[in-house]
Amino acid sequence: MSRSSALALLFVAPALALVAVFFFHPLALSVISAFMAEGHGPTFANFARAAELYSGDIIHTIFVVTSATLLTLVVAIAISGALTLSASPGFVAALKFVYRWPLFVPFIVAAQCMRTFLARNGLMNNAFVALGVFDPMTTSSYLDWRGMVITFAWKQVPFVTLLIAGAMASLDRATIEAGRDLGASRLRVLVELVIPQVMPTLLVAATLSFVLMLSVLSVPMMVAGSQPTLITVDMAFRINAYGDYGTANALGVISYLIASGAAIFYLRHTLKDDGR
Amino acid sequence: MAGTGARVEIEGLSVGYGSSLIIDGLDLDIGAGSFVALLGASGCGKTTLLKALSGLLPAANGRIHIGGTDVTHAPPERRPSTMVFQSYALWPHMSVAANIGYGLKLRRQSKPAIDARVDEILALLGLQGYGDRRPTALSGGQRQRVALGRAIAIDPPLLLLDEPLSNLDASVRQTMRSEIRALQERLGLTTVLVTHDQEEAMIMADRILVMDRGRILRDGTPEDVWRRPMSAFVARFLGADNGIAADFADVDGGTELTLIDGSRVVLPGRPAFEGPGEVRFRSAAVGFGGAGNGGDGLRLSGRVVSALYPGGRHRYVVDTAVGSFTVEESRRASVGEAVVLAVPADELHLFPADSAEGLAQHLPGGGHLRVSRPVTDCLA
Repeated sequence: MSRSSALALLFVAPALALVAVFFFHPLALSVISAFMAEGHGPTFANFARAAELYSGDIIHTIFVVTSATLLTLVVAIAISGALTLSASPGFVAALKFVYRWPLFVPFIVAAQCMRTFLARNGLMNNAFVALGVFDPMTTSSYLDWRGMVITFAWKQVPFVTLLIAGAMASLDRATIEAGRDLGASRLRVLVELVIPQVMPTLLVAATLSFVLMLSVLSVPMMVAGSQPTLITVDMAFRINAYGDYGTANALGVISYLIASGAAIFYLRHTLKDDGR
Repeated sequence: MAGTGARVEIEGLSVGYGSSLIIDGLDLDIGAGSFVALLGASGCGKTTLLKALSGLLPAANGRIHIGGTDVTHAPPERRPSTMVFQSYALWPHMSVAANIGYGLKLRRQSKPAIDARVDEILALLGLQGYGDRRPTALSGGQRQRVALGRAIAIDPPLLLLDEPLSNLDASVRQTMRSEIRALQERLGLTTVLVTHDQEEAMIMADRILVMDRGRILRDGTPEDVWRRPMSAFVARFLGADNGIAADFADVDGGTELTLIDGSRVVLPGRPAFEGPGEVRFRSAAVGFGGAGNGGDGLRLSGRVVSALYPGGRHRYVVDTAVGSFTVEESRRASVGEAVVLAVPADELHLFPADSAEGLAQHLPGGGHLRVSRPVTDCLA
């Protein structure tokens, strides 16, 4: 090893040590303990228990997080598209001002707000009743999977919009004008010409949002207290109520596999694009 | 497949960005099937006019008719024009064939009809076999052809070209000029070209509009505009870089010029105006005159201060008592050599100066461009 590379290694050594001690070590421990049972050695018992008790919640988690990601994308694309293609500068300025607010609201506060907003007698239902859209007798609470999807999307839309609108703004404006010039409506320009050009950014935003939402504990706890819930709640419950680290770690590994699924989806798409 | 170009009528058009109007009250009539070049420096309003025609920039006032239809308030997608952009604006995620066929797809043509038309366009532009490629895998000239193909695939009654050749190599540019011109004549498309390149406008168009600050200063055939620029600004823009301030007087039916060093020159023909003005001429019109070689025109003695050889003729800068001038001459001269500059009378363009500002335009760093009153060039 040359002198200079030894020196370089010396410089990054403290950072590497921190990553090793505080990240890889606990991660390895939790993965290993997922495959261990007390006094038994290597086993799949933890996974068996996790599947037996929480398979419903695992599927529910994938469903809620996927739905929330899709809703986030749809809303973020609509806002970004309006910001990019609108002909009204006043509207664009107002939208730009408003859409970023949720960025600065923590998940827990967002969840708390949504509890009062989405409850049976919450602000949303009351507003609809006042408008005469709903009958007061038939209103129902949205504090279930729908509440979680709405809360996740509300929180993630600004972040995803920030990324996508930024990518759209950096496109060659003439590629948009060329579409309109040939006869495409704004919607067609958005769907056929703009979105395909920002696809890499869109996939990054979707993957990051998916993984982030997968790890949130506060929203499922506060918005949807009852069953079925997300596996983050189950993990916390196994540890807090039973000290059952084995099952909790098995659920952790499962959550990691779900996140890896999203990462593989992202990588396949970006690699396919680069290959062309 | 020959499309029929549409007539374009513009009345009192005002257009701009925000509250500032770039073009104010412009009238223009473009005949069906003609090729018009809008020529001018950056910021003269030529691209603004093109965008107003395409609908990408809304008109603040006035009327635009294309093919007899009022399109003043129509969005770009409802206008019968297509545009070729300076950056080509090809869609990188689509194949060449998909780029060219997109306008047809929007017009709900059947897949076989689109494929057939795309093949026809690819053949027309010499791009056979490139249909499946991505635009990013093409050279600049090929991309330019694809952009042109995309615009003409729908047989547009009006084709708008926004500096389409400015990103190309000199040799490719030469070829594309004649190709676009030939294609336009063959298809009979009404075409409006925006360019700042005087040679490009001269070669391609059959009518040239020289623009400055949102106004049309000169409108005519290339040869007419070249021979009779009608204003100092247009003359300067069309290559008459050399300028001399002079006083004009009618002396016995001739035009007497008094130059700033007090010397006098008499040119044949009565002047169209008297008083202060300026004389402009092109560097190619100047030659080194032999001693005693008289004749009509301007003769100035001076000294060579710079000599360049760009190929073909030599290019000199010659200092004289009334200013320094660029000269293109086949004879070799060295720096410091005394020479006599001779400009034939019919190569001199004479313009009145509205004010001292008018004369500032040919002086180095001399203020902003001031357009003199168009007058009939007295010697043409």
